[in-house]
Amino acid sequence: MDLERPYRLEALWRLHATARFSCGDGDIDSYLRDDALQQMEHGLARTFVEIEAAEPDTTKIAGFFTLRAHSLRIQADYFDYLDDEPEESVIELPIIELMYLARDSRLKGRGMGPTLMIECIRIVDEIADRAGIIGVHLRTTRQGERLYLDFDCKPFTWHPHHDRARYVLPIRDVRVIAASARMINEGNTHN
Amino acid sequence: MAATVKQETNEEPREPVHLRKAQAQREIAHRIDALSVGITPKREKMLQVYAKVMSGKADPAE
Repeated sequence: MDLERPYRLEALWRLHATARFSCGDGDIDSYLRDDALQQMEHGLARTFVEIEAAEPDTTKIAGFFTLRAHSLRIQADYFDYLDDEPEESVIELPIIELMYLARDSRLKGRGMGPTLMIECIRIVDEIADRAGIIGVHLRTTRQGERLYLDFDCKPFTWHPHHDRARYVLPIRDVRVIAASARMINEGNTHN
Repeated sequence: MAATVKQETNEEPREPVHLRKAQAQREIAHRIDALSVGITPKREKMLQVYAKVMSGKADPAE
């Protein structure tokens, strides 16, 4: 089945044509072009690109997403039963951060956004097999917000710096979406 | 089961701080988990889009 897929997901490397990627947001294009590979090399984040399956690595990138380990930090004094803790004391929880997710402008309206999101969820599901995480922390621009709402992601009101640009996908939902995607990839129709 | 820490005042003895911190972690994890909604109609639709794209059958104006 994988051989017939029109796209393949690869970890970013130097032969990928990042300079030709354009999603319509200069900051995101710039991240992929100038920073993503360096962040990979320093272990700060992992970027995955979607490439047309029949094309070489040097072909134009259809879309990408970037993940990194993250920590949700809540001031200890939020909890009544920790009121004897020092002011700087925090409660930390492990979470994955989706830093970027974008598709090339030429693929607008072709289902690449949802495809990238589900591929991202599949990667997070694999991470959750190996390390404890409570979910995915999703950062977004106003333009990207619609995709997260289409996935019924919830505003991350628990985040200490909560604003409209932060959403969360609990690990339980990551598991069920990834399981459904696996069925699709194994050739079971979802309808 | 849990050990307790004696307070200098007349307050109820409290659990050691590491246990109370663990409780706080569980409380937050529980609240995040409570946001789970499973496969909703919207997610079902997104999975269908994914299935179409990955089968090479995506409509141009999906």
